Amino acid sequence: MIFNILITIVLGLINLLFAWVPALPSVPEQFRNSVSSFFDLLFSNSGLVPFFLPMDVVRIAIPIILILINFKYIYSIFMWLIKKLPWSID
Amino acid sequence: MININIKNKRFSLLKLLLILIACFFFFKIYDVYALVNDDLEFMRDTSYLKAKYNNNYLRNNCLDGVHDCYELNIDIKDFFTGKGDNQKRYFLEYQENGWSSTGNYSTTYIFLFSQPFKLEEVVSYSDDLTYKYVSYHFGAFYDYGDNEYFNGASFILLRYFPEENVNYGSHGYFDAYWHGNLGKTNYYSIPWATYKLNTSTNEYEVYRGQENVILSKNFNLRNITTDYLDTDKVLPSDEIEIPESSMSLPKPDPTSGMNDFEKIVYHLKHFPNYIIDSIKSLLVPNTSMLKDTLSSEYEYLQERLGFLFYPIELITDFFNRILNIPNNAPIINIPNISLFGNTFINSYSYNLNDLLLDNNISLIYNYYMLFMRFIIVLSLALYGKKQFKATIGGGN
Repeated sequence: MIFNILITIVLGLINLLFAWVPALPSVPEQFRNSVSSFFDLLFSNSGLVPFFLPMDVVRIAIPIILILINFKYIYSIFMWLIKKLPWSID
Repeated sequence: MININIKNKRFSLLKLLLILIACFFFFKIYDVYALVNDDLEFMRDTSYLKAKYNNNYLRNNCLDGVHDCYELNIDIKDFFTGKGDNQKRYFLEYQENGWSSTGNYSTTYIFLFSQPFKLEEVVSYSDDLTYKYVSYHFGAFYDYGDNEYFNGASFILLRYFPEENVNYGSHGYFDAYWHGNLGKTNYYSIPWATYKLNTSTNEYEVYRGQENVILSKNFNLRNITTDYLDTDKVLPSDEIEIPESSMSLPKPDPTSGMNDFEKIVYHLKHFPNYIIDSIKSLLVPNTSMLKDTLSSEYEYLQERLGFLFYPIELITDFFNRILNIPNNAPIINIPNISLFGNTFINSYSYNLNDLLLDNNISLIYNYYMLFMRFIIVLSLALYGKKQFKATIGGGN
């Protein structure tokens, strides 16, 4: 609940900030298609990957890695939040 | 700050609380997975399915006097209590283009591809840490001739358990599992399960796969095509109509049927869970709300920032592609190699699964996969420890 409120506030502030900035043009469609076709090429034989890697584990591991990489920031947010709570024992 | 001295090491209560929250957050990682990958393939893969082979049905004539109907009386044991007091009675009836069934629950459908068939019951249990559910699977299976493989065509959820409260089917569940037209008279389903039957023990193992691909590498692997499916009648998943009746089934009170003393014991027993749930609801983000908010924010920033946002789009696309790598058969396509008009190698396709037909290679492969799982988990644990130490370790 606390995080939901916090995220809503932060995102509201971001939206407010970017509302003043004019919308920037998007990437040209041809370039986007080229990159997409390159990715398609890369992943065209991805069917072989599950044979060598347990994808069920990999699929879980990827979000965990992302969280661990950003653990410092998550920790900081948690600490900041917890210190703001009235149940502090200091 | 209140500190606790344990063997000359000081631990602050704040740090302990933080560790507790980290544990909660760790368990919510599964929800994070759901954020980035809407389908619940993970839940399918980790489901535990095993049941006794059972031919407990009676053959009767349908009312129309043309088709056969089958009546089943099945004693289903409650997964948690082990009590076999849930007598279910199903009546399978031939309808146009398939079979359907009626039973004690409104969410019971069976589709049959062809005869002869066998009726199977599979009790499955899955725990994705958000939903604990028990489901009962009745399938009409197509015999491929070697008495070894059957293709399951239907899946029926009778009850599932969010936490420990008995509940019934939900929209999300059927949205994830059913690929068919649930709003019409006839029901169609894409087969998603493949079974290996051990005829000596009358037991079978179930391996799931949405794209009719056998996920297990333990036995003779082959692709099962859906040629026999009338694909014109299979609706894409975004057109699935979920009947209101299956979404708004009543939520029974878990303490119903208990006397006052049992209710007190029940609540006392679950008191720690109530506190944990309260803390979780306070500190752990609501994933569905988070998902909606972040996806709308993503679209907003994409629109406002234009080309500046493109690198983030690329990274997202890359990870999505990794997460959505299909469990297709690992087929290597060798092209036709010719030089000066002479063909050295003719083009052919080789399915790596064929290697696993050899029991020895299959065994080695299983050990390899186990080793890979171990390595990934160990790497994660070590990296997590390093990050944890770098961020929190040292001092108090």
